[in-house]
Amino acid sequence: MIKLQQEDIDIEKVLESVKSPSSGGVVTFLGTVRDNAKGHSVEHMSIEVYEEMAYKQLEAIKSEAQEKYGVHKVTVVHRYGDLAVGDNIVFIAVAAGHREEAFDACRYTIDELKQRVPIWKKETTPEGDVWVEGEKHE
Amino acid sequence: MEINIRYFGQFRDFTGKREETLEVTDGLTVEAIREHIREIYPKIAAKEEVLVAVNGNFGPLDQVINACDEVAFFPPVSGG
Repeated sequence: MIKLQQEDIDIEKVLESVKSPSSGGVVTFLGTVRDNAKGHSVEHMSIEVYEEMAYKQLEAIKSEAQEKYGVHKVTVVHRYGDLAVGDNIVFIAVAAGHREEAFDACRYTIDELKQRVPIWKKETTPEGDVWVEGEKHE
Repeated sequence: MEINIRYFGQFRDFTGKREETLEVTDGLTVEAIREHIREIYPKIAAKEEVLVAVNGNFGPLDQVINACDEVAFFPPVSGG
């Protein structure tokens, strides 16, 4: 399942949805809003998404992770809108036969998400709003 | 021909727009349209990296844009 949403993530529900009798484990990654970045404090965050493209890219990453590592299920839920410190941002859950491929596929999914899924963070700091710079590609 | 362009992230601040329609010559490549946008918006031109997506994909720079394509401009992504 791939989902972009404003509301908080129901982690228990996601975990139940990825578990299956043939899977021996689930590896997860939960990203949350940090109260600091690059030496300044962060009061809250707003997240913008290019929704149509983000779904397309996340579906592609999910397929790649499944093909590359042979995992059973990959679920990604990413939030957008206004978030407070400590709020959940992204939850990734990968179910697989064994832990090695589940860890690898989870890592692959978050790394690729950070490279190519069109989502941007803007942090509110005491000095004003700051767009978070993504990593360079070229 | 006319093409529809969308802006995201900081580029919405730079352009003051979420989207716009631009009149361009036929057969323009992704690279050429990016140069065109850099000429219109000096703040975009000042950015080290300007990403372009066509119909939700990162295509090659020599891809030719058609009138029905959705072209989007934005800075490096920062989700996750």
